[in-house]
Amino acid sequence: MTQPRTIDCETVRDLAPLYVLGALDAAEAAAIREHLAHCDDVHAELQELAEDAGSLLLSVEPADPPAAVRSRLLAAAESDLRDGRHPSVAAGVPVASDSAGDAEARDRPLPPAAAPAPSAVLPPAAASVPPATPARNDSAATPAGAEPVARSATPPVDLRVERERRRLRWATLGAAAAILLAFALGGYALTLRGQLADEQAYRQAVDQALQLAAEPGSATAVLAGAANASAGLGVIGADGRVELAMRGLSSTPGREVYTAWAIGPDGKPRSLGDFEVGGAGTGVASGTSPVTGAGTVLAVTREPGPGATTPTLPIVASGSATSASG
Amino acid sequence: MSRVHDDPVAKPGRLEEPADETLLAGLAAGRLEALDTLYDRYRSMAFGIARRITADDALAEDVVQEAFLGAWRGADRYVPGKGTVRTWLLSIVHHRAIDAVRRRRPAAELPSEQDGARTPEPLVLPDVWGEVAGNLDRDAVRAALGTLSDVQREALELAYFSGLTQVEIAERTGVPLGTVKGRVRLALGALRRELESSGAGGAS
Repeated sequence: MTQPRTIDCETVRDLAPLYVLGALDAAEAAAIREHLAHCDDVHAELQELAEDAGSLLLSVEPADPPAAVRSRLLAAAESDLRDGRHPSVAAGVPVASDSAGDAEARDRPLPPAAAPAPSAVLPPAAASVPPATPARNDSAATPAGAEPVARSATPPVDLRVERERRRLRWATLGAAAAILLAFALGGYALTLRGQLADEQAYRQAVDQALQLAAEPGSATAVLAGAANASAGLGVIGADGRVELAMRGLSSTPGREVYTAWAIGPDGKPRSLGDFEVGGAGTGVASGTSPVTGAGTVLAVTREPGPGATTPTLPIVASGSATSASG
Repeated sequence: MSRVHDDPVAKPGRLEEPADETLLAGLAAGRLEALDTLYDRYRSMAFGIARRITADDALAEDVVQEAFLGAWRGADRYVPGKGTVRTWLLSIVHHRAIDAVRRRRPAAELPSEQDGARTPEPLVLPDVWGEVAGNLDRDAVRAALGTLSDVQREALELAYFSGLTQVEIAERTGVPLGTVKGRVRLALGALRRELESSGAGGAS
């Protein structure tokens, strides 16, 4: 095993170019990841360098992999679902065959009560695992027979017909709706860290936000931070009710709090309430906003104490609400 | 959020094509057809990168498969604000290819255990990945690389595409560690300036 050692911010900045290029040894890279996971500095320089490094990926000549790779990939992914290795299926719990909701309820991000919200977003049929059709070779990329599936231990899975059939179904999935789902599943990582109470609060908040999002006239905002991993989901109901779930925040020591704000067309921020954040990095808030509808901006700031009436910059995360229609 | 719709790669002309982020939500939810579509969209770039780094077709195939499988299992770890799905995914391919090259080397060169030969290590998903400007293309990046000095270009190539560590690059090129570090930093800066000034991209 490579033992992560402790390094300081200066060392991280010094090694940053080599880190983003992948030219550090395993121990050095692990030490940087360890540092980033706990550092209050967002290390924005890393993001910029990663952009530079990422452009190098584009200099590479694309090449078509043999069709067998697709078959092996899909076969492996399918057995993930079957064997409970995929996050969408509960570890050790057999995949429920009766309801679409259960197929993705790995550790129950949504209690049954929330079912109307996700199923309004996701056609139930799409949730079932398509049956493997083992016979045909995938001939999309290579002429039939050009690549015998010699290296494949598992039968090839061909989904081309399925794919065509499902294309339209995917089109009905709005991007915002899909992101809602991603947030619903995001609580999964918390389970691994054993932050049970925080995880439940986060789940509940996402659940409430999803229910609110399903109501007519509501607007949904995906909140994103500038350079760190903070992100969140906020929904404003037609009546001004706001449900907010945030993750990836640093914890709040002492009297410090995060404050949620709604910013309407007049540009004036109004506090929606304060919340604290513990080791799990999640925070939830409910409040009432005097401004509603698409275009309302939801934002989160860090404040020295509760009851702030004007936000202390910088904004930790923000997002503009859009009407929740698929 | 409009960002989702801005990536030109995510919008291959036909209206009914789902955005990358939609597909990723599908991956998180365990939808094979979403994985299939995402694979279709990026398999060529992924295989190109894997082959470039491993210089071994069979190994590159494994890398691509493992990388997409990593995305499949870790889709809920993607953070929308940090960059595009494309760069996230291709960063996974890059990481995996580097890992594969290092594991392939003789045991003597490996600092720790040698058991990695057959059992793949757990995939480390990238915690930082760039948002590469959508209008950048291969020609623009190659042209920009062409303006770097030979030693800078070599440093970038070795660091990004060879799987060598900084220590190994220093040995290979016969210069001190600090020089490797400096060259790489300067090269990345020069590449960025060149791409920006050619109007081909940059972060904003």
